[in-house]
Amino acid sequence: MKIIVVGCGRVGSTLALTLVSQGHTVALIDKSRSAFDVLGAEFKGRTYVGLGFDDDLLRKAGIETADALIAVTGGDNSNLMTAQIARVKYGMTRVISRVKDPQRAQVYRQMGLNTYCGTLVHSGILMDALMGKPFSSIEEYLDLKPNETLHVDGERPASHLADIAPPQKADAPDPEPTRA
Amino acid sequence: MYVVLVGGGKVGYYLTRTLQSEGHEVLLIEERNDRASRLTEDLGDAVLIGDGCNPNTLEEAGVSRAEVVAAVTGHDEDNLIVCQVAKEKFGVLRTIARINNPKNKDIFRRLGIDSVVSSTEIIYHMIEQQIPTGDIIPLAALRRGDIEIIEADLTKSSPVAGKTLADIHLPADSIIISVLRGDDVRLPSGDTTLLPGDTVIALVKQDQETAFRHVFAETWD
Repeated sequence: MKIIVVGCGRVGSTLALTLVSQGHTVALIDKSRSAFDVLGAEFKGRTYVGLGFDDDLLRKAGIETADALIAVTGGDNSNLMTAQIARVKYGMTRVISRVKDPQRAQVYRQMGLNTYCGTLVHSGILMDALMGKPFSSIEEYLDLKPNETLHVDGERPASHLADIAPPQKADAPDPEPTRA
Repeated sequence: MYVVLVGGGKVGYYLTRTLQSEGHEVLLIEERNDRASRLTEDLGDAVLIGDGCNPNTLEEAGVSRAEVVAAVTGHDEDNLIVCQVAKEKFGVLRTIARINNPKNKDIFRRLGIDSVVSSTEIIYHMIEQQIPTGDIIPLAALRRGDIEIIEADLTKSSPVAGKTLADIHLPADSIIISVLRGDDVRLPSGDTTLLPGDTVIALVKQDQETAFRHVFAETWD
């Protein structure tokens, strides 16, 4: 597949290297040239310096013939705009955007955009791990309301990770409250 | 009218002042603490500190009762998200986004933003109306700038000189309103023959302007 990856941070660079190693063609976009340093000199994908939601740059990176786009910059709004350009203007169907803010992620998910909210997924997984429960599917985590948790036994859903006492293991470390 | 503005830069500040002086209720949302506290000194309760892209902030601002939400930060991507969240989550009927890159106009419209304002583009059009580009001069922009009235002076070398209007293939979405010949103003028909020295006034959709130039003007590029 030909894939455009927007954002060359930890996630974007790892993704790009993995995709290339599996034989995919990758075009990587980042606003900072030095972000590409982590890829190493061997990197076989193409790199483009600029904003991911710049239509001209997306075209230069080959969006018109790309099979998929994934927007994983640190900016929710940038990712959402890039993903919508890909979906609406170029009719791409395989488009994923990372959105850290759970509420924003869910607004756009309801609008039909494939958003991945690490905040929800990670806190859901950590929650289940903490409670010793089996893990749910990614979709279930993504559908969590930010102040709800899956698999909470008993009467009331806990409102925050920090509100939940770890199961009766006296030596278990206190859970660190995570902030989105 | 209740108006929610997002972005407390110069545009947001003066917009708040102007709307207030016209008797409107305005809430200006600014994310940066330092900027927001300076704004509060001047505008008092009309300032809310928060991220206008965040649904919680918009809820706190009571955005669902706002008649208009205008996003005027310096970042196009933020302005897009403010307007979309206001519309999709809170049902705001009229959203206005400021854009810096004029190329974003089309995609913003397609993504449901009601009005898209590009100061770059407005100034560009003002300049273009002063400076004739080739022989075609835009006279006025209608309907948010989508449709233009333009004037084309025909020279001897114009590819349409000597032809009747029926012989000319006009670009789609364009229509000739009148032909000026000396002091005479003609309302043209298919039989009208265009002569060098004529001035053609036409209504053209903005994206067809280049195609229109190619039909009427000698190639200068």
